[in-house]
Amino acid sequence: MLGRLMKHEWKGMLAPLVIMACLLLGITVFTCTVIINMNTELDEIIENFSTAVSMMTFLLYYAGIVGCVIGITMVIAVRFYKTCYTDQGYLTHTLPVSAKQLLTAKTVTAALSYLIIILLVYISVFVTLSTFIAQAFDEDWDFLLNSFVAVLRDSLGLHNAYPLFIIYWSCCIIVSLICSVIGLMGAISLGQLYTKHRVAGAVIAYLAIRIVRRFFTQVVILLGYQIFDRFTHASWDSTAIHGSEYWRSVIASANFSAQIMLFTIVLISAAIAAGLLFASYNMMTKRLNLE
Amino acid sequence: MRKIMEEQFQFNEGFANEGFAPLLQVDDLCKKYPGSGGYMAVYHMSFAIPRGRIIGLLGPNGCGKSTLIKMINGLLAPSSGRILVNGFMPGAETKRIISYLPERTYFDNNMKVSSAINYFADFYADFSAERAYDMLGRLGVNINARFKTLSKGTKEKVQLILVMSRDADLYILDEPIAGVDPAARDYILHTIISNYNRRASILLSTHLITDVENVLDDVIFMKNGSLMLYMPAEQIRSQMGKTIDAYFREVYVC
Repeated sequence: MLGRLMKHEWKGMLAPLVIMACLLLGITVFTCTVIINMNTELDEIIENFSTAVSMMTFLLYYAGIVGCVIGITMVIAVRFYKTCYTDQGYLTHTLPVSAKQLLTAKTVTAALSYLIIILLVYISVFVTLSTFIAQAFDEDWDFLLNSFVAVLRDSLGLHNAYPLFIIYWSCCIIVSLICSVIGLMGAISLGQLYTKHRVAGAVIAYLAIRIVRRFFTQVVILLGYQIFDRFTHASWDSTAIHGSEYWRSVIASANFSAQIMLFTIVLISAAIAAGLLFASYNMMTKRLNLE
Repeated sequence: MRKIMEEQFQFNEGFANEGFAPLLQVDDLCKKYPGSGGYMAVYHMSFAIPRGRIIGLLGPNGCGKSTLIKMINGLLAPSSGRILVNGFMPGAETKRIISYLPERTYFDNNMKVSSAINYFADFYADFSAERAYDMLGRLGVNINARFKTLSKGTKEKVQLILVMSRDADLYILDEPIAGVDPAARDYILHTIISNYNRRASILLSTHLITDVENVLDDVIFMKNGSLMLYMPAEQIRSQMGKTIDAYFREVYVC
């Protein structure tokens, strides 16, 4: 039954996903076309016009990216609300499936949709930035990619630990995405407690969850800085020579602190998500009250 | 009235004494909504429904019919008491054998009728897509139409067809003929009567009694969340010398 639930969830998510993917493709192609055709070697009027068009295009591109991320969040939220707590809930909650299966199917499908959009956004930003840098500095793609990897290696002190780094970050991103989706669903479920203003209740619950999460994140970041100070035994010396022993030790300490911070933040998000998952489950099994 | 109540008690007890488990058993069921003060939407209800009966759940608006139906379907948790459907508490197991038609239309407006059929076929092992296509064909519904293009009445009929295309053990129909014209009511009742599994029971909630009373085997009267009467329809007619509709008007006189 879980497979069937996921199949129908996926069907429901597909159309908005395709629309957003097309939108991303469209704005990426348009922005890259504008970048490639930017001409600063013409007379002043055309140069000004070209600059203005570029600025407008970048703004449009930014709005498109933000719109896609907000869009997928809204699609997930609205779909969950409609299928679980409006008239459609009469169908959803009378299917021969358990609340656990229902929540699992919705969480997995929504997290996958989120992941797809985030990956598309990363690809789009990478392509657009690469096009811009290639156009501005007249370099080829291989050189740019190698430079990017070199910067990443130096700044993070990774050396040969790329696969581990990528696995670690991928896990963190996936766990964070799942936590975000569960948080969104939890907020909508908690909003159902305000029987007369369910949508307003969901928005208030969502804001409250964000505040709680932000509070704990800030606490972790503050503690992380303390750990960083403790390891370096000194504050950052801006005159440190790039590549020196001291520079390397500071980078290593900063990375260590960052990894601990990241891990703790993901852990806190997971703990909050676990609570919210329980809230959604409880709402569906014990407090469901469809209008 | 006293005599009728005594016979009703014997009628209820009869199922237990016959030595078979009832299809639906409700024991001392209560429901109080949060924030409703002390008001009980359902108050200490107990009854049992055997197989092979068409039962009218009758009562005025706000008497607790829909609350009771939602609890049987697992859409509401009881405050106290117990519901057993074929021996199981409401859950995935009972949803497999209950075919429920709510008051609301529950399909996404962007969904096609054919997708709704596929949806039912995917989730309900007892669903007959052929029967659904046949009934929809006779009704003249385009299966490629989206729900948003259908009238309210047609949406309700499509929903009823899907619900009645299952070979369920218990059909629960909440106000299936409310808000539709008399011709549509006849169609709906005909669809119900000619399609239900004969080993199953139908619990039909309505306050339009005249239209349904001829198809009912038993009737349950509810008042203020309580069970007021549960007895065979024929018994009411013979003992009271009046139709169920007339008796209903007498009982619920304002």
